[in-house]
Amino acid sequence: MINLRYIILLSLVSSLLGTGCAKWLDVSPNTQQRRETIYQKVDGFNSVLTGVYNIIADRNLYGEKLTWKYISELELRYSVPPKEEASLPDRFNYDNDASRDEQEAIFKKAYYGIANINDLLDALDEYGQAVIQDVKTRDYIRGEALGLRALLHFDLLRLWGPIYDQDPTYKSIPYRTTLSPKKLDLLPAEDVLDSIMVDLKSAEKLLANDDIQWVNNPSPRSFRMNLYAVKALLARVALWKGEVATAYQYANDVILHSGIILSSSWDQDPTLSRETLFSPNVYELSKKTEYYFPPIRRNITASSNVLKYINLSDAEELFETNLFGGNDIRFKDGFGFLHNGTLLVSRKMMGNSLMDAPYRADRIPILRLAEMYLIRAETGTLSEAVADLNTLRKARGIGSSHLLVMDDNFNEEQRRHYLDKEYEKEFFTEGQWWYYLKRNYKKDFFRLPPQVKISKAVYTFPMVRPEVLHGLGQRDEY
Amino acid sequence: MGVKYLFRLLFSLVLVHLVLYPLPVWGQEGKTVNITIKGVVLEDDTRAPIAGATIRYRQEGRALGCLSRTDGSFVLKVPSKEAALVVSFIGFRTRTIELQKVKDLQNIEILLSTKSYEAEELVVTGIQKRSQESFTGEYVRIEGKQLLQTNPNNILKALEAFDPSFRIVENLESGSDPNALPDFRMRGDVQIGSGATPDEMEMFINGYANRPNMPLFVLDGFIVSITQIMELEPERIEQVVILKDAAATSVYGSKAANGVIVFETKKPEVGRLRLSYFGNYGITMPDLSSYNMMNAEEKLQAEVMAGMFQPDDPVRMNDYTRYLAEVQRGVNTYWLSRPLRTAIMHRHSISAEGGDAALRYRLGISNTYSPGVMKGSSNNMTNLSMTLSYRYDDLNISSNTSLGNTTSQNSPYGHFGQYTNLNPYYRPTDTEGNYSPILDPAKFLPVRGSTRITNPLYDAQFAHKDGRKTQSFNTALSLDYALLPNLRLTGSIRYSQSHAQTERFKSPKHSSYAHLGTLNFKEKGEFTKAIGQNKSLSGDFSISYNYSRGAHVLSSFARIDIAQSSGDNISLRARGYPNDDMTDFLFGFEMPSRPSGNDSKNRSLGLIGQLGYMYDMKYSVDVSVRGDKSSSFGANTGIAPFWSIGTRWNVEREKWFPTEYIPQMTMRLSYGVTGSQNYSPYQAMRTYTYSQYMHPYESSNVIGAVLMGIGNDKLGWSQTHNTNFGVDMSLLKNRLRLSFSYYHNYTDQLLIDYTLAPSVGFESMSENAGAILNQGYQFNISGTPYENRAKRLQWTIALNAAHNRNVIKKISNALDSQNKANLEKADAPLPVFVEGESTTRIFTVPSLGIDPATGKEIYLDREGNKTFRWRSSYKVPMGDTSPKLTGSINSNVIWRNLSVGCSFLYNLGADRYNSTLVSKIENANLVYNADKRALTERWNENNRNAKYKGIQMQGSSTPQSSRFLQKVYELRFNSIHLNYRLDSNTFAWVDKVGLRNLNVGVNLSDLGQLSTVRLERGTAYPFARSITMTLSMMFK
Repeated sequence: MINLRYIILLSLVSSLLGTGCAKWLDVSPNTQQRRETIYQKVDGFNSVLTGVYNIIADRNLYGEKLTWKYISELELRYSVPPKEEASLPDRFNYDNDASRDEQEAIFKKAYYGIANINDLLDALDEYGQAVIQDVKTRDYIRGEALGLRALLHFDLLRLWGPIYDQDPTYKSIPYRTTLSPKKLDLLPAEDVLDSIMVDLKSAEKLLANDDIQWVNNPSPRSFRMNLYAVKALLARVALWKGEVATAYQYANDVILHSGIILSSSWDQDPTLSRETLFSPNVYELSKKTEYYFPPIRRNITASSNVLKYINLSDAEELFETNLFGGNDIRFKDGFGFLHNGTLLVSRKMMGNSLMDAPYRADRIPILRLAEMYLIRAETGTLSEAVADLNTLRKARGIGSSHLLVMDDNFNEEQRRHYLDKEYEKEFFTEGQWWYYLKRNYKKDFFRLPPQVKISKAVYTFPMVRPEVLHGLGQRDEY
Repeated sequence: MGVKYLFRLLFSLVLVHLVLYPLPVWGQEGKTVNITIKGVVLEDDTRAPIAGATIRYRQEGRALGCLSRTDGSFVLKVPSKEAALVVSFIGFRTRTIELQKVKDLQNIEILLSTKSYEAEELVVTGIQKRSQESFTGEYVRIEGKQLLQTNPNNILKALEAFDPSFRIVENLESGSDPNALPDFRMRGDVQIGSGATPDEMEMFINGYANRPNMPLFVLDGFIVSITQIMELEPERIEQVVILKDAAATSVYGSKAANGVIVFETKKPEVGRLRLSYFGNYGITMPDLSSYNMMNAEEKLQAEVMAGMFQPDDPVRMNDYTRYLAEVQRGVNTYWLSRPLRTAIMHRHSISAEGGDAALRYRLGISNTYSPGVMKGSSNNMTNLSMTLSYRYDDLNISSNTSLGNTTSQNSPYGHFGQYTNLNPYYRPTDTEGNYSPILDPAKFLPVRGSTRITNPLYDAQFAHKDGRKTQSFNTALSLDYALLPNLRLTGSIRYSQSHAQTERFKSPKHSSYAHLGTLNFKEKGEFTKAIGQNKSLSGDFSISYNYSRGAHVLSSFARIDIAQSSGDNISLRARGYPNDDMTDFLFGFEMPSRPSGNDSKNRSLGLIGQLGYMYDMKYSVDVSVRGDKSSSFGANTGIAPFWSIGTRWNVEREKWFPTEYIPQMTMRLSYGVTGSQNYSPYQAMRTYTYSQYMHPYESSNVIGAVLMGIGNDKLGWSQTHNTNFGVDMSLLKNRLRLSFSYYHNYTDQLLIDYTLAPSVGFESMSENAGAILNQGYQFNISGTPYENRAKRLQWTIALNAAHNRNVIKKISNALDSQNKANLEKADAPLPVFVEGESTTRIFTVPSLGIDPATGKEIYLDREGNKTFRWRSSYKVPMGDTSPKLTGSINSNVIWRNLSVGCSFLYNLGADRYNSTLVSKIENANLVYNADKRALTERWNENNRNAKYKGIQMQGSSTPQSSRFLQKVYELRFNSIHLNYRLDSNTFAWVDKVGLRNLNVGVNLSDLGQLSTVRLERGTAYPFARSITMTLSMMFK
């Protein structure tokens, strides 16, 4: 009896000591995957990259703030009821909670995206070789990630950095290439631009064989950070940097070789998917914006206090309808805008695509072909400028009787004038106009209240407070 | 690794013992062994034999003994009859038998009693039962009966009266909300910061999981959530043990740093079926004594004084005549009482128990209906419980199953604060008695023109849902087997499952939809529904071995704990409810947003080893070791080792000790390391989540995953080094009992949320940095000033006190930016963590009060110069919110069958920032109602020595300063209770109606408080006083 009991005891003791527990303890919830697990599959890499695209499309970045909300409000794109007009100058005074919150949210989300990209890039070094057998897939993931890292840094620089040609050494933002809690100092704007260029050039190489399908039957890649999106971004960055020749070269490259053409009818395609080089997909964009940009005319009423509208008279002035703009598709009812009497709302962010093609719905354009024409027009010769401006204007429905003519009257001043107008008209709700204004240090723009004095401080956001509190963001604010 | 070796050592030790000392008799090598004693050890009520009981023979210079056999019999040869036998067995009351008094030494029958063995002989640590005489840990034990008497509705509140180191954190906001979950502290803050604020759903599923300073709750040997403790019926509780030092808690390892509270439920008693009934019937009344609002006349006067009505402004003067007319009509609405009521609560519980030696059972059902003082709020519970225990030979099996169902409703009247804001000259109803939606269409507001004052009572009349339902099911099975008489194996397994559901419905008629007009029903009305569930399975297996030889008693214990829990929750929102009758989620027109939610999964493993040694019942030493490993630890952290060593000296057993003066005295000293580990796995290991973007991303064929945090693979547990010294003694023939303990708890490797620069991409990262020291003492004095056994009269009084000092010893620069941000704030002070200061230190600008000449506040700058300018950089440490001394005073008189008692809690010497003075007086916006002092104690030409600045329409924008810091000395009337036992000797009818006994009682709780600080308490939900009648009956 006793012996039997000993055997029971001994077996119990040994089973207790012998149990391997490390494996059993290694669990995580269904919705989560540890870093070392997720990167064991190609799909894991794709998921993280898709996660980054989702961050790009987040409401704090291009999904809202950087496009049709905060930046567009700084551009004074929307009309406001008369009683609110008095508060407009407040938008340009960044020393208040409302502005600080908006700016901090953008800053944090952008660096959160960069953190995710950096971890993905590290993982590519660590596991990429073993997990992703196909070299092309591996290169594409790396290329897209580098392109996106450059995109985010570039927009951070455009917001928190200086007006570049005024102050290229101004301490701007940190350029992060690894995910670590380590503190990084603010870099001078020129160094940031150099790093952006390095990333973009590598991306260009990695994506060199990109097989994008545009126009009729677009491939998923045409909406991602593809080869031509990278080239277009290179053109944009080079122009910011003042490298005119480089900007020209890339813009030219995109126009000639991307295979995409300017779209002349927007009625079926309000998101401009047919001439977009890179546009993230915002989940249920149409639902998210329906109160701001109602797709049904009768909902465009002044009684809605969230409506993002523009008065007919303002729109007419903006699009120069008295001269030639009446047929401009960027203005026309059912094309660029939806008109309801005197109130107009932009159709670009309505999301719905009426085109029977995959992937086109619910997108927000970040890089479009039109900008390439404008860059080439700005960086090429005067006659090229006339040709490019005409191409764009013609595509937008400005009658051939109003086309520009290359003659002695068309000088640099004229070029600048038409560029000003086209940038202003072209990028309604896209946020790009703000950067154009900044690049050219415009002291005045449409509907700017006279009491607002534009200074460098308006075009350069003050460094976000938490960054300063960490002893990193110290710089002489304008 | 070290832990593993220790276990091996422990087990081999056990084995060696088994081999060397197989069984019965020892110590017979002595001199003349001439008397043979034979006998049997039995259980007293069932007469079942007890195997493995220790029979010790005690005589000067001699120690002999043996163990009883499986049939309970024993044989022992002893040298002399002039000695005693001490018979003990775990789980039973130890008995001493004088041999000289025994008639037949060949046939001794020793009956051991199980009754209330826990009560006197054993300390229940939740993991094992330790003999009290050798237990080296610091603990406080409270009988269920005592708790029930002090507060029959809320046992946790009652617990406060018995141990000064256990405190419910006062929540000035949620007051007596029956649905609020309290927060607790033991011996000060061990962690910094409040931790993540979990959403309601997670709170109910995971309980305390995210609160860094919450003690651990253990119910019948298993770690449970606070919600399960709150669902526990008070009358089922046998006892509560609060474990405080490392020697007592180190067996809980990485969860023990905040202290452990062990609840044990009653075991069924043997006998034929007995029915009992327990009932509570109470009245709960709102306590508005902390409010001091102006009446209609005073309010209008205040507005006049503030210059709201300029004689040259016809619109304003029109307002004035309008208000004045109302005041003159006699309108003086006391808005505070509008959403309140006097509520009647009742609770019933019925139980049946009985059984024989082999099988015992207890079945219970209880139902609680407790409405809150705000109309429509309630918390109702139904509980079912079943306990079965079965004994066969050396095997003991018991099972415990409980089912709980809680339904709680929040008041449709919303936040109580909005009623304190309304001006008394508004009428709540129109002339027909209907609630008017708008009280004042245009109340003048400087700068912005005017504002509309809406009537919160209006919205409360529509259909409303704001409640929660939780169901829980718990079952545990435990097995206890005496493999050898001195070797026991125990194992248990527990499964628990809980479901929670919250529902919130906003009527389409709600005034917030007024702007949508009469149509647009697709957007009116909203329903939010969240559903969550949690399952956990845990098991343990332990082996214990006791050995005694002569004066040496050795006990060893080893245990393995494994646990797994998983949970998930989902939340849905729909809108477009056409009418008030359609208060079901189904009727919603559409769901404007995707479902949201999350899931969790966790596994953990613990190994415990313990070795105890006692010599001659005088000296004992305990060594405990625990190794922890959990799925949430960082990848590089390994097994977390925790250990303790405790010593105890039963001084009264020493020969030289004057037991005639001091009948009892023990001393304890312990040192050990316990841990705290409350973070989510992703904080340690870089983890991606799919739940953030759980929707398709067009142009990708997978769902997006994003990082949850930066991860810190070195993240481990914080370590608290506990040192504890305690003395217990009784004097004056046990009429005065004293106990004192001192502790020094140094927490190292503190878990700190290091705020990161936003450019890192994450807001914070968890780190083990910094250290906190908590040291303090507590004492308990209880005495019996008067006792007359003949008259059966006894008066007892007890006083306890605790003092804790908390100092941050090390903090690195982890919290620099958070400190800077908090120091910049001008409104109520926020925590600032600085080395050398406590975690509860208040930093603010020193103020000299109001300058009589100018009416401005005078501040002191860093150099000590007077200035009118407030600068956040002038802030210095000015006070501390933790009290110097806290404790309670309890007194009880028992006379025959009557017992009367009362209990007070006191708090001395804390500093408090009185935000009422700021928000309701000085910064009070006179658009709304304010404290009476806002009218009278204001500076003006005629009242130059006033405490508060001059009156202003929109209120001043006074920033924080030491002017609003007040010292708190307060005494809270916790409870007064009266109980009468009607026994059948005095009252014959009791017997006739078939009762064995009958108890009636009255309890008054939260009667009020005396305090040096006048502060609005219960701003979101008022406090309440309650009177409860209790009735307990046991049928024959």
